[in-house]
Amino acid sequence: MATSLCGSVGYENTGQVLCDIERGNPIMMVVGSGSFSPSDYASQSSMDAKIIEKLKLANGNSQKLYPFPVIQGTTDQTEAAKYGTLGYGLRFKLVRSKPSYEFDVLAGSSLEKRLMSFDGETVPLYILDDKSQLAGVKDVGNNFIGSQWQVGVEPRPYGDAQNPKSTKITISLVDSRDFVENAFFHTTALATSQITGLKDVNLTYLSKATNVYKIKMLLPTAKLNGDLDIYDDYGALIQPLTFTAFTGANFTTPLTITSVAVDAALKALTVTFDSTMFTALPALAQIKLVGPIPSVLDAANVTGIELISVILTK
Amino acid sequence: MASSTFTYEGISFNKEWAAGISEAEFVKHEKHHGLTATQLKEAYKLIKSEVNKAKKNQIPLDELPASTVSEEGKVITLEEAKDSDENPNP
Repeated sequence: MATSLCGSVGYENTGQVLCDIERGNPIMMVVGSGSFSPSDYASQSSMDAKIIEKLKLANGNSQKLYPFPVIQGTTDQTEAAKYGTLGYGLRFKLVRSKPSYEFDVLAGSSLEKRLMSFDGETVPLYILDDKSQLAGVKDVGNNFIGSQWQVGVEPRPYGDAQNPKSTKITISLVDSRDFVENAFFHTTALATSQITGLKDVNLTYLSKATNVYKIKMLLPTAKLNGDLDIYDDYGALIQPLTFTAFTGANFTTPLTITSVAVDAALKALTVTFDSTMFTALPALAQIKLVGPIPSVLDAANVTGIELISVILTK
Repeated sequence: MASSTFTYEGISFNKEWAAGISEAEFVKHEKHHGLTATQLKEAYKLIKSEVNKAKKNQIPLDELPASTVSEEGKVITLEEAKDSDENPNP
């Protein structure tokens, strides 16, 4: 006859798994709601391929992943567990610890502008450590997803000629159980050099002659007049790819592009719209010019960039 | 371009658009690229030829044997029709 409830409170067996997974030193964070199905993580190679695929998705895609710069230092800022003691000294654990970390990363001012978009956000986040383990959790559908962390970004301050300075990224885990009970790890063969983010390249209006527009491709930087023109490196590779254009309310009406050419003198693309359709547009009508998506660019050896649409005016 | 393109002298032309207009309209519309009229006419002929070739590889719906018409009523290519005949249950 049972005399206790210990068998029904959900204790688990405590046998040690040999060579079990242990966390290493964090070397990279990957942010985003990109998830991985059981078939994705069925093998290391398929999972790694999916990771790369999600890094190259266009901004705005819900499956896109955003890798942060390589971590150069970690400060454990975990909120310690809280304890209380009874009068004769018996100590109770009142609340468990709350994982929180501050990471040093190297980011220039141009990248810091981008990183700030994550400041103060609660986001799904994977952490890669120096044992090549990518940590996340599983959802109810057994998909591997990032656990929810509150993110803070602090820019690199001016130097003080005493200590090196860096951009600080802090993370705090929303649900402490995601650090232990819900945690899962994918062992990746990817190097951090392969887990890289895309850079925005703005399609930029230069000039026009009726329905013929000259479009530059500029990578914005924090340097005044320092936008980088990617024409020399990629102009000829981008020109044959698919461009689309839309007009009307919410840019839902297609506008036919009849040709795209390179203009070597201006280091620009010459985009020609169908003159009949163009003429029919009202004055000051807006046209959204959309470039090929990152995966198409990547397949054409235009790597590491995303072309950002431009709104043109008739 | 959303449509498929034909590249001539480094210029990507919209094939579907070009196939729907006359040679004169094409030459007039695309003259700003710096190509000569002769070059533009050649580009137009090549585009038309390629578009026509693609069309010939398709069988009109009403000429297809009933067994090769998909349930959705899609037109299929000669090769697809041939494959379908040789291997009805792939």
